[in-house]
Amino acid sequence: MNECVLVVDDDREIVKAIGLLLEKEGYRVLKAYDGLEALELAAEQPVRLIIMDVMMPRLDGLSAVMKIRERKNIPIIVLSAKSEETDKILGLSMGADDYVAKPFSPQELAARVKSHLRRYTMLGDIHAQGREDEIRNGRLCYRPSERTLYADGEAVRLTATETKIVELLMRNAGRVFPAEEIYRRVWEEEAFSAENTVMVHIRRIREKIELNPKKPEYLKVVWGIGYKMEKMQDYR
Amino acid sequence: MATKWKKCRIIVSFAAFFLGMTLLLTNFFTMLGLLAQADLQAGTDYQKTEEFAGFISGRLETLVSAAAGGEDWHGSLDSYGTAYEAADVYVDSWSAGDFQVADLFRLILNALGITSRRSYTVSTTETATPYDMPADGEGGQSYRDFYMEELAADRNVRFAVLYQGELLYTNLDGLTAQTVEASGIPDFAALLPEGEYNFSLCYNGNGDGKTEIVKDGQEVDVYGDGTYGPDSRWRVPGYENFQAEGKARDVVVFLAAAKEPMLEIDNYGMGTEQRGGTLFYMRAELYQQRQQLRETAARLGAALLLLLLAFWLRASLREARQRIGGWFKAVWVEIKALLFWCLPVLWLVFAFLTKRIWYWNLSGAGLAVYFWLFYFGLLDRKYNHGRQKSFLRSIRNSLRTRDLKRPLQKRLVGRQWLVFAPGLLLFLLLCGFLLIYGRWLYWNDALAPVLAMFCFAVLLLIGGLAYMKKNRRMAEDIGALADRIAAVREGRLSGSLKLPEDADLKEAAENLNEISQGMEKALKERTRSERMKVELIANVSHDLKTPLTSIVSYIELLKQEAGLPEHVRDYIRILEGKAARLRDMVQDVFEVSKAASGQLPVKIEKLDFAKLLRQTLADMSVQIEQSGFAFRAELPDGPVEIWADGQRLYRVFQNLLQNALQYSLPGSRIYLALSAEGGRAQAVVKNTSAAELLPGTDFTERFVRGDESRTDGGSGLGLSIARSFTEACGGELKVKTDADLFTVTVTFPVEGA
Repeated sequence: MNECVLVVDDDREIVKAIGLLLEKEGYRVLKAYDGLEALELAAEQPVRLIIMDVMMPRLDGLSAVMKIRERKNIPIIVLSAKSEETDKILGLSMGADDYVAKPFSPQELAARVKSHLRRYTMLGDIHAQGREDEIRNGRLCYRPSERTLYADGEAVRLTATETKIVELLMRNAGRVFPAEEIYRRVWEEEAFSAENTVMVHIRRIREKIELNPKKPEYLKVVWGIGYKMEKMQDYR
Repeated sequence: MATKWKKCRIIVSFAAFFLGMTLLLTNFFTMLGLLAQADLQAGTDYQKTEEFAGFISGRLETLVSAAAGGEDWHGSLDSYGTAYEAADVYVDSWSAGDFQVADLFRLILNALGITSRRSYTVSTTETATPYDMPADGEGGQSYRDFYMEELAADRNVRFAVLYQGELLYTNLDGLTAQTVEASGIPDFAALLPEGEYNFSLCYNGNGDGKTEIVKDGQEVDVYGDGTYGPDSRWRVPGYENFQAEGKARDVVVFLAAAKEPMLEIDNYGMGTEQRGGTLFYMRAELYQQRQQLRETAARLGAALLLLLLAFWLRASLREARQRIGGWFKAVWVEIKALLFWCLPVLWLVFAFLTKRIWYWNLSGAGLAVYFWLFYFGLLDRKYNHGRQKSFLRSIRNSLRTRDLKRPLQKRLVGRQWLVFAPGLLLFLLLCGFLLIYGRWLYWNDALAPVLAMFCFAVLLLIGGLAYMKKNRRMAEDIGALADRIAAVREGRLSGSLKLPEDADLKEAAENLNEISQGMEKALKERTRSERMKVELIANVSHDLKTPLTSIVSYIELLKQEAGLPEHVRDYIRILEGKAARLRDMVQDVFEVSKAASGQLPVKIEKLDFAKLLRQTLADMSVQIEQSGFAFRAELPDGPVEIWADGQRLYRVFQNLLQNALQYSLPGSRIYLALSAEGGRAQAVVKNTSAAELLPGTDFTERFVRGDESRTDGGSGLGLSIARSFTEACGGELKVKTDADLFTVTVTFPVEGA
């Protein structure tokens, strides 16, 4: 498919490494080493996705993102050595679609790139269709009629119990469910040692839907209260 | 039932004690008094009393005197103790029920046999014209005759008086001068009505000069050893040292007393006249005395019985005393002191001064009142000693509390009145004195010292005013200083205290200003250095992260390289592991430095501590199972609600559990317990350390590990992070080591407790 990905970082080795990794995944990689270069390349080439470091000479990453956003609607992943919540929110509000903290795991980055590209290219039409009966939340989409969960447009293989949990949480995205309630509503019997059982299932679902199961974005534990499906905000 | 009986016993025991004691005290001395005065030998026979002997002796004296023409007859109808010279024998007026000191002395003296003997003589000398002395308004009749007529009218005492063989006076029926002339001394007894008079006395001055007494037909031994002394019953002539002399030797007297004296009351139009009262009342009094003795004895007996009962119930009595002591506890100590100690003492002093101490205080009821007051006073002292409720103290305390509530300035100013008030008072008093008494004063004597005092008072007043004014400013300055100190303590360091140049506290205020400025500067420096430190760490960790990203990425690329020999793959795995650890450490350092500088953002919400621990255990279940350690969790079923940041608290317990998994002795058990008691939720993680725990190590310090060689996998920041996070959430984390037992306690206040 040879989609074109632009990687921008002032650290050449990192750019090279990311480039190599993405090329192995089958993408065409363009490289830039500062913000201005990135702007030029993004204007000239048919870039489908940009990976952009924040701290760069000449023009910093966030300013570049804002500039690019003026003309293009392509997904932008921001890389930063700052892992604080405020930096993340700042990056996303500037127009980035995703935020990955350094040091990142290469697989995760690759998975994110893939996810964003799929959503951008393939699901664009799903967006347009806007089916009535489906529940959307970020990269996830649940279709009750099919009893199927789609992640980036791809059906996720879930067991019957997992599907029930996902349906409950997707229908009430943002709401926190105590383990006992999940147990009661999914297993339809009184909860006994619900915490462990629910946690095991949550973990399995995470493996299937999260880009980095160790740092879940969607299926979250609210410590001391329960579990919830994070309601994803669209920053665009 | 048992308690009711017990209560009953308590009441009965104390009532018995109270009544018994009161009866004993009120009757004991009365009894002593009665015993001292009562003629117990007399029995019911009034003729055996001392009084009767005295009366008869006196009557004999009167009659002898009357016959011989003695001196003391100037109209007195009472003849007691007049005719015999120097016969001073006690004639006490006994009043029943009263015991007097003199009696006590006499009892003691008598008991010791100390009595004085004197010599007594009877000498009656002739008066000038006793026979012819006229009585008031009744010409021709002498007082003696009139008196004799009076005596004759008393039918209780029959008498006959002969002088030189001639009958002078008699009230014996059928005795006439002719009979006497005919037969000399007649047989008087035969003339008495049969059975009515059982006592007779016959004095024959003509014969041996002795007196014969016959009672109930028996002759009485009148003279004893023949010498007249204080213990001699009959005061009649005939003793060795008490002889009739002169005219008395010519007198013969016969006396008889009735067995049962009667009271004759004549009623005239103008009033009543009693006759025969002396003997009648003597007898009545004897009966009354005996009655009184019986009653007192009965009361004393009852008292002893009651006291015996109280003694039998002494256990209950003790409890009763305790209770009474307890009641007194509620009474202000001033009232008790007044009632129990001051009043009795004052009353005693008053009684002593008025010399009626025996009469008022130490007989009967007075004694009982004293006893009970002292008794209750002692009870109060015994049971409430040191725990007294004081009216004055409570007033003082409340005043002091009120004083403390006022600001310092007001308090200081208020205290100045203590200095000023006496001067003012003196001044006002003197002014008043001068106004009222001024015009009676003369310049040279009284006015001078008064004016001097007046001047002194004015000076005192002026001095006081000046002092107050000066001190008021001082008080204001002190108050301002105190306020400023409080402000500095609260952290309001900017601003300074300005006092006038001449203020006493100027220097102190300036010192304080310098201290607060110094503190402000130091605080600013510290804040800046903290911020710089955090920035430095953030920068360092950023600078570490960028190369780390390359390392991680190229390791990934290496991993994907095909056809590498196995040992190279092994190297790559080691690189991967160490890179991951480096990444974790960088993250930990960053977090702990933020937490230490107080810049860690926390999202505090209400959560269930027990659920959080269950979730943490569930989350780490795979790790726990793989570790091979047995986990013992003891978590309450119900919610334990606390306020904390769930994410951070999860990290706390993740760290603690990982710590336990990492450093525990293989095969040992790890314990996790949560308890909510006394408003505090306490989670405890316990494990047995594999390495020896050096005592005195603070494990929550950064980079401290049980194993000093630092070859294990941890960053040494786990516990430090756990503590920082716990504290950021408002909890408390404590580490305790006991030999190899490693205990971490995380405490939070429970919501709503």
